[in-house]
Amino acid sequence: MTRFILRRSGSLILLLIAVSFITFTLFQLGPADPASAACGQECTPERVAEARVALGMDQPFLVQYADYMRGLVSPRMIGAPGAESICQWPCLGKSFQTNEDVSDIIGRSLPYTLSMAIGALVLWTVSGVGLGLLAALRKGSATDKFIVGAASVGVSLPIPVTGLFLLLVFVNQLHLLPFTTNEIASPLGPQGPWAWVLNYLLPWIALAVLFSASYIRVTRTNMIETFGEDFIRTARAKGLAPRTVTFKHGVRAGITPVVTMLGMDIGLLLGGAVLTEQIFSVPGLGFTAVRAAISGDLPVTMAITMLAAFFVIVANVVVDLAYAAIDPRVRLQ
Amino acid sequence: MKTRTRALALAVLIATAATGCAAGQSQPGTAKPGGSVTDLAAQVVKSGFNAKGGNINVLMSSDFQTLDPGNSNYVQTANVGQLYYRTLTMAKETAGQPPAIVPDLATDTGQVSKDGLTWTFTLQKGVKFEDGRPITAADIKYGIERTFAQDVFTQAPQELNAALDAGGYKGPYKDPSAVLKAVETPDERTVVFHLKKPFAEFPALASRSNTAPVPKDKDTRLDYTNHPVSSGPYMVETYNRGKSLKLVRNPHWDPATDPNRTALPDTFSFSLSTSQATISQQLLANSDPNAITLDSNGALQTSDSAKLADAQVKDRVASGLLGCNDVLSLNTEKISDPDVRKAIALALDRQSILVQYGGRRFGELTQTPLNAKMRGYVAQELELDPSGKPKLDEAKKLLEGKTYPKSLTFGYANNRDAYKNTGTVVQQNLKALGIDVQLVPIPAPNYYSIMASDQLPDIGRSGWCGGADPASVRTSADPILGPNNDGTSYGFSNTSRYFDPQVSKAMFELRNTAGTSEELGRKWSEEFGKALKTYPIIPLIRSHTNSVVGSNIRNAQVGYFFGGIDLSIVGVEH
Repeated sequence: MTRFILRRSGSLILLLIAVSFITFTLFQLGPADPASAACGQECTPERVAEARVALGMDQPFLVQYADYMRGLVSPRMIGAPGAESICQWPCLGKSFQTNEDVSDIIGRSLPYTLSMAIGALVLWTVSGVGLGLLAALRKGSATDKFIVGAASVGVSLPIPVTGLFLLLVFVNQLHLLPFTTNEIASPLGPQGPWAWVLNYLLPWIALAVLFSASYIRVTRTNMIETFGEDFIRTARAKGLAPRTVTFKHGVRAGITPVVTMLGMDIGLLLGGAVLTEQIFSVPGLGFTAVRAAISGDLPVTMAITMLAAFFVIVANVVVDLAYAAIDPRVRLQ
Repeated sequence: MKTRTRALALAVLIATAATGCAAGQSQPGTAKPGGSVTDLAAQVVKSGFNAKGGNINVLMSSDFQTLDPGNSNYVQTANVGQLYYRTLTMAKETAGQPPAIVPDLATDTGQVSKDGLTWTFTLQKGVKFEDGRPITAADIKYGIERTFAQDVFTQAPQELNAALDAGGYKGPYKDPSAVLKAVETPDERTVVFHLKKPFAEFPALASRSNTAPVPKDKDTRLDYTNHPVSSGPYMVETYNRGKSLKLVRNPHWDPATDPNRTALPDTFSFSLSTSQATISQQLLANSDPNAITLDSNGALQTSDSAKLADAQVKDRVASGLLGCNDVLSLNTEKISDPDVRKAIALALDRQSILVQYGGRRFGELTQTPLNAKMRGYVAQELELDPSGKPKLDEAKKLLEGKTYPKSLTFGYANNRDAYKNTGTVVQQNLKALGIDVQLVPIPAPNYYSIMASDQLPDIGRSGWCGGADPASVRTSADPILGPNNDGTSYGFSNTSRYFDPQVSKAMFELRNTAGTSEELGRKWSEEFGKALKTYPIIPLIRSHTNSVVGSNIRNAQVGYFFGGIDLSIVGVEH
């Protein structure tokens, strides 16, 4: 187990280096030029040159990249000569747009994304796996057909449609829920957990409609397959209670593909649900990433890209570990 | 769009405006009560209110780039800046009109020497910072010095600095022993500016945030944005970057020294990360009666346009003309024959282009980027159809026997559908002349740098917002079609690369001519008119904007320069 974790940690670091290098390179090769963007319509070549110095973009590409990577493990100085400021470890740089420490921006955005992801995750897992299991247990019945049909509709509804529909009905027309506010970042804030639930309920539902649809289908398919296996027949033949057969033997064996999906989806969602955050005005990582990318804010774009990659990779490691816990047939080598 | 003046311009630019809807009462002389949804006259929401107190919630889709007056060229910062910093003079907004330059910290709008090269300002008595310290001429000078440190402040406003005879001064940080000789402070209340050349609009330059006082011992360089020391009616209480900003009253602001700001609400609470769609929905639904927005175009989405006439909304819409114009720049080096450029202009269906901008609510078709309300303006009309219809027969006739490029590129900033759609209209229109147009998307943040480079497209949209002084012909005309600094070629923001030996020379000489802004405005108008008749640019849209406010908001006017609700006079019923 320890060797496994160490090996995957090594891979994680290598992957992050690769992701950072690719992002950095793409930014350099792209047409956006933050220095000229900084001074606008009457930007003389002299002003661009000074802006380039101020942003640290006057150095060769590899020097800039090496500086950036060094900042991840030790403090570094940022800014024009004579006007530098220290950026403490782990230094993710300073925003080209607002000059804030990128780590502050990430720290501010992450709780919103976590709030959205956690609630949505619970909602779609419970509804997706629960309904998938119910459909499998009642295979061929009207209930099964209804659930599968609803799942097909859910998976084909894009977030902008679901999100705007929910906002229109529950906020604009019925006034049952408030507009999302950035004052509530977590259930531990002064407004309390209930306000947190109300604030994030609609994004949770929008995400759950989309995600649970595929969970229903995958759970149903795998459970039907598992229920047909020999060890289930054996369990039933031994006279075990139906509940024990279903949950202790069936679900445990049939749930592993769902866990894989879950791991990937959590990783992606933590990197920022761009559309959902935009539509519901949740200033999380996705919301921040879009603004950074549009404005050519390299340090913020870099940091969020690396963080998203980090989440996806870590989620995969956790999935591998979870396999062993859930399914005794799987053993980590 | 980001506009420094241009950025200022840009921000407002992109903020194409919608036309006015009815409002409660009008502001004397400019706005009128009521009004139809197609009426483009300025509308002020419930003016005449003067009760102090209450809180205004300002919804914004993103944080300010900076609150530092020395590092800002953005209209939003300039608008909110009215609340926490004062400058020597001030651009005082009146809905639908170019702002008037009035004294602010200074006793008047400046005294100029006979040769036009020296301007002197005297500070009012009794003006103080938020900590109670008197504001002195040295504080003004230090604020200006900081704006020369462009290696630190990439967005420092430069219009004023460019006019000063500052030599190679680079700000107070790199070489603290260097002296800015162009600004002198003979005593605690006098600031003297030495210019390179006469600049009749210098009082407008003195209204730029360069002249906001900064106490040297409080200068934290780039961190100054977190708590700029107030010289205005409000000061920063809390500022959570990217999230919220709270402004409260500055106890040391003396209203007797400041007739320009009514400072009615007790507080302003800014929310800095609400998506534009949510802002517009909240304002339209009046879910917060104390709310306004500073986002471009009132954060309105194109689909919201029809709702502005609703009974529940129309009395809460502030609207008016902006100082911004969109034009098409034709690369005169590529399309060198004025007749060909004129043919292109005549072939365009500007009516369809206006539709791409959202229709008449969002602006009006123009024949010139200059405004009749500018000082010294001389009427100039092109032969474009006033209603925007193409004159295809005339265009084809102009091209008879001519050799002209059969393939052109149209560049557009990739941040707004209207820009691309304008290209599509141009593409279709020019097919009729046998010209194939290829559309080229350009990243929005770098649009103007590419337009100023050798990669510029043959046709490109440019937005212009009136320059340093929106009421001056010169500050609009010179950047659009003026020559470079030595008069030998086109200027760097002259994206049509227009250069005519006679007209450009005359413009160059006007830069060195002393006189009043009105006298010089007439001469600039005449030269600009001559240039315009050779069609280096095709005037398109003069922008209007709408901004919906909550039902408790009073005195809501959109500024010609700011493009958003003017914070210096807004109030709230509570």
